Amino acid sequence: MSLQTNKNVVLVVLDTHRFDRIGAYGYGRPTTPNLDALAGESLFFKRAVAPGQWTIPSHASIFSGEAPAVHGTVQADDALPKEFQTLASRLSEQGIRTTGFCNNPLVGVLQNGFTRGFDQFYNYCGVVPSTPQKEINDLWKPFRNLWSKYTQVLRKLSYPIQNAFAQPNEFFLAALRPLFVPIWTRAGNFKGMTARSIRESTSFVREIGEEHKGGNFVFLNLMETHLPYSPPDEYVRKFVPYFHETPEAQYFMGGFNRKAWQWLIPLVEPFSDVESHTLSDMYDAEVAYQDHLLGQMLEVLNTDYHRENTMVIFLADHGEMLGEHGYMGHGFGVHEELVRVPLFIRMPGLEKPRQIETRVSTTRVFYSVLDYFGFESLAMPYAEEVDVASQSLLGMENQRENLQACAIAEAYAPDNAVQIIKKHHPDMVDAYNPGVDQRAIYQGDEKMIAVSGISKVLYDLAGDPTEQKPYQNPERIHDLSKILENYLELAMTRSAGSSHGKISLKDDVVQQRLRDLGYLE
Amino acid sequence: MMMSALKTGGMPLVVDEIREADANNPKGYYEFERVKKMPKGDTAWVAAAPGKAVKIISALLEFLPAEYTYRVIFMERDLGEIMASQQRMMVRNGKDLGYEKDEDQIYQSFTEHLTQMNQWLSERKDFQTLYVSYNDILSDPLTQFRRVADFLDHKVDPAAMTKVVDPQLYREKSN
Repeated sequence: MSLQTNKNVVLVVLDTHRFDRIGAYGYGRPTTPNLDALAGESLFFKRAVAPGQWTIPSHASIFSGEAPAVHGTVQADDALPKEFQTLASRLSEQGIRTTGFCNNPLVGVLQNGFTRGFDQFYNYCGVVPSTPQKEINDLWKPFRNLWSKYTQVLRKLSYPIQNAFAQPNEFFLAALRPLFVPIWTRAGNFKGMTARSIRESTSFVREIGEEHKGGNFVFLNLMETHLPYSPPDEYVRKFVPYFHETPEAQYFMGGFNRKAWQWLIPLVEPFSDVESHTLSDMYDAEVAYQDHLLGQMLEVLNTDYHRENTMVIFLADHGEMLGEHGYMGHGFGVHEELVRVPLFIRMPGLEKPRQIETRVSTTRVFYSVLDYFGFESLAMPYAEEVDVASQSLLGMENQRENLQACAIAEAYAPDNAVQIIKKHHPDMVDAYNPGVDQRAIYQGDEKMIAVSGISKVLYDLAGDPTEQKPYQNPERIHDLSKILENYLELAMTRSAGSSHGKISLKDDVVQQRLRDLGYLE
Repeated sequence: MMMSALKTGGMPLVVDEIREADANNPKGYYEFERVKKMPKGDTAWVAAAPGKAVKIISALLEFLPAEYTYRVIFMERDLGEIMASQQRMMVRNGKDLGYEKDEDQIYQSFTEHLTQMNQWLSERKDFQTLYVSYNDILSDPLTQFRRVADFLDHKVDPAAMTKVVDPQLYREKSN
């Protein structure tokens, strides 16, 4: 293996970013001119699929190269098992400098192993953020060192408390009360500091370019498009022009921003037209604001050095339901708004931009980064060595489209959201099956949604892109179920670390029976 | 019943008492919730469990970490009785039996699973297994608990274990 340690990768996760609000994916509003420009110079994946429907499983897959069914990191109180070596740790041990700039507490604050392998990881979220320190003169250094030690102690003290809030317990439920929501969203920096994190990561990337310091992996997670929505007024006026003249819209948005439990569960009652439009347009305003801030980063990435040495990847970990199909947020389901995600990769040497129709999972970003740095094969836990190029997306520049390729998304509802439903809205249990795993399998334009042990339906995404017309076709359901069954069987074998295999209860109905009896989660 | 008997016989248990006794199991479940998280990698608790007994359904045995050795008391019962019992538990728990039409399929899957499980256990050098029949315990508890005591190097008292056997519990017999 000859590593290309003079190269760089900038990986940007647009947390909670819907593909269909990006101009390059066909959106009609001018929300994303900067992303559109980059997408136009990239390998542009039109039909990328997130491995999971929310932050934890999706990031665990991007960082480990494994499906959620394999790594099993699907809840806020799960940790990525140590045998799954992270992308950052694989790079770091080869001498590549790994730096994270993170706005999502589920990624950077929880002690779940996601920061393993980062030489430096800056958290812009949480009660005590950790951000890059500016150069100051010697006179102030002792004070800064003292302050730094003080904040380190505070951070150590705060992490276990913040971890406790990630558990599906009374702490968490209490924190969702409208009275407390402004406290943890603001004082707890729930959404981080988008502007500052982009500014500081941009400075970092600029410095790499100015000093020609190759051998960097830079990870940036942005949370601006996550609830609560409070974009600058300039963006509200542009994308929600009726907001200031519509008391219903203001009342709704103010209330919704405080009722955090409503972000997590399906709609208790349908939105009115004003509510629905307000929510959707405020989301657009956040998208546009974040895109504007990203302009400075993209300007630096467009300099000659970075065009020649730095691969840039933009993707979302998942999308967001804004009332479609009765869902809100990203706790439940595998509908398009949630698991179809933006993904584009601009790499040096790309002869011409290309739009890729083949369905791909964003889990493959893991292999693409390693491929770019020159990794050829990887030892993976409980499996044969993996040929990196075979899983990398970079080779698709010159490959024929494979429209029959399958992609799979898995949805494991967050335990705390399930608890809210069971405790406060038991009437929703039958309609939404909150504790039951859901999976989507795509092949061509066909998509099957399987609710474990309960139902399987098909959608024709070519004629029904918003999944309004479920249909049955026993033959196709049989075929897709078989693929899904094999996928899960392999995953179970690998996650068990057992080469014996085939002893797990692979049958969905049997698993559901054991779940109903309380013997399985 | 076996967990209750082991406890009475002097074996320390790994339990958390989160799942409380109910009409289905009036003497309690003797369960440890984190067992269910093993497929997700939560096996750290096993380090504190040597010398103790924990209840694990067979489908989760494969998730036990490889660095230990295990003695498995594999409780056997007529599968028809088990399924009848499960159905009654679900009805009592208010679970919708919307998939009862699949009972034959479930029976078949459980049968296949048990065959594979027996094969798997026989191949694993780190697992010693004692098969104990639930019905045999009800008909001759002392003999069965002596077998258990032998298997556990006499760390339990078989005579004391017999005190937990309540023939009333054999109420879920299928017709």
